Amino acid sequence: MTAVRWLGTMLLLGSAALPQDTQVKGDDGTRIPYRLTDTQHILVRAKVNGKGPYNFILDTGAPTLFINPKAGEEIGLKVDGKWAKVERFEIEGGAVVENADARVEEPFQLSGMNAMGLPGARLDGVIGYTVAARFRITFNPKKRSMIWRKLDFDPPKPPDAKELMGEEGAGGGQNRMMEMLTRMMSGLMGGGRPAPVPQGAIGFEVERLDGAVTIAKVHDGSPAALAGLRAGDVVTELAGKPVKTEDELFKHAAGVAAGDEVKIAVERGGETLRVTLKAGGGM
Amino acid sequence: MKRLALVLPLLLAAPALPQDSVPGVVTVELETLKSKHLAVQVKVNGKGPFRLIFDTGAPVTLISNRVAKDAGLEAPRGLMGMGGEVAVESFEVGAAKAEGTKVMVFDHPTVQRLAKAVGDLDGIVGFSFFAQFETTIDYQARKLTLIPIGYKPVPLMERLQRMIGGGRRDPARAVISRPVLLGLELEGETSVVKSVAPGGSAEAAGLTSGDKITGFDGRWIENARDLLDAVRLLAPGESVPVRVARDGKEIELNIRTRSGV
Repeated sequence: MTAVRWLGTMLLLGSAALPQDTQVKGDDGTRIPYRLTDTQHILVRAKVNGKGPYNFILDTGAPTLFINPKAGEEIGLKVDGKWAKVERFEIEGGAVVENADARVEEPFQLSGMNAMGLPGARLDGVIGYTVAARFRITFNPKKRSMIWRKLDFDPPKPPDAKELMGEEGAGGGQNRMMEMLTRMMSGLMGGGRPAPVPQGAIGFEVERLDGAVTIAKVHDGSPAALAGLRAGDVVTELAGKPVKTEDELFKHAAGVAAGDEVKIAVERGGETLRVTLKAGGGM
Repeated sequence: MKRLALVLPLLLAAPALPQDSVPGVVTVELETLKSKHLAVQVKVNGKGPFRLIFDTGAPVTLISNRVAKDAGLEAPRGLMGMGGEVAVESFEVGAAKAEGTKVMVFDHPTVQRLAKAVGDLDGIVGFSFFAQFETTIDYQARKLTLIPIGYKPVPLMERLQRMIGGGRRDPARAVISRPVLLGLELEGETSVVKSVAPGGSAEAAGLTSGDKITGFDGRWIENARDLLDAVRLLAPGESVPVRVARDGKEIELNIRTRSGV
């Protein structure tokens, strides 16, 4: 368990041979959708030379763009040393950087997290300084998108890690040790988590009436309709748990997958009705 | 269930701000190190300032043992000198102050190596601090703008322990949950609409069977999973743009989300 404490920090040093002709496109204030991984990393998606999308972590603690070698191979990147030229790096939402240099290697933090399945999504790389510094980036965890504004700024090349910190550089022995440790932990924990399944559809909309969670509409042909639920019914239990608020309803429904049998209790005309239905595959 | 327990606080939690949090906008100087890392000046329990890396890729905030000692912090000892997360009474980045920020006391080897090249560094400012603010990073102007938003991140260790520990006791499936009912069903794993429920919000938006959804809420949609990942972030009562391919043309619709299961 303690080893997971290592996973967070992305402090990677490398060197970016940044060409003069790097170009940036993106309107003022481009909305960049993101999601937070289960490990609280800011995940954005990007297409690399039209391939993908791939999952990247936004990381001001990384000096350059990193792409893991497996993705690099899929994309068909020509790797020279550990470096490759990305002709077009398009971030979901519309920010584009052309002729970006990428380091094609998997930072040990990513391999460790990927092996354990901790983030809840496969991570293909890291967006660091040479891409991120071309934008003014606003992040608010209460919003589903960041705002990226293009800067008239050509980030200078980060120095070579060896030059800066000697032979051990960033890829020092301790990092390799950490990678081994995270891989070992992943073995102990069964190597990743099961693939998630979608929540099942029951088929009614709700509203709050007189402090009660009330069915506002039942979708025709839905499991709820087939079970005889009607608009006006007050939901009191779902999946064996009491429902007093919409949040409670969502919380209990969030454990119901498509195909699951669900018991629901409603009040109608002063009586309690209990039905059992099978959740459908809709959303 | 567990999935939701983890995700819901992120989406919904908006507990009150600590009482003496700085209201309004705070601007903080960013130093670009020659390694191209960003650094800020930090005070912990009024002690300092110390120089720390500002790192959006770090889910935790780390402070060195030296800082912890100065600030009178006692952190639980763990593996290889790492402690668990402890709440700090006062954590200040420039003039932005947050109470109860969770930090880990740890002399990170990479930070130490970097410090040899760029001068003193005493840790990393990560998600547990900056997620309490709307954060704007301007590399060009070397300014960080922080606006308190009354958001308290769930400590990472707590999240991971719930995730992993919980998974061990009960190897339950993770369910991709959603707090809205769109009233549509997709063909298998694709993003092609199989059917829309009469009277549902998808039908009201003009979606029809055979439509291939290509965009949703500004996100790329290529398959069912992409749509599920987008829908899980929504709240009821929002107007969300939907792009669909229909008869060889791309059209844009708007869906009004409704509360439902």
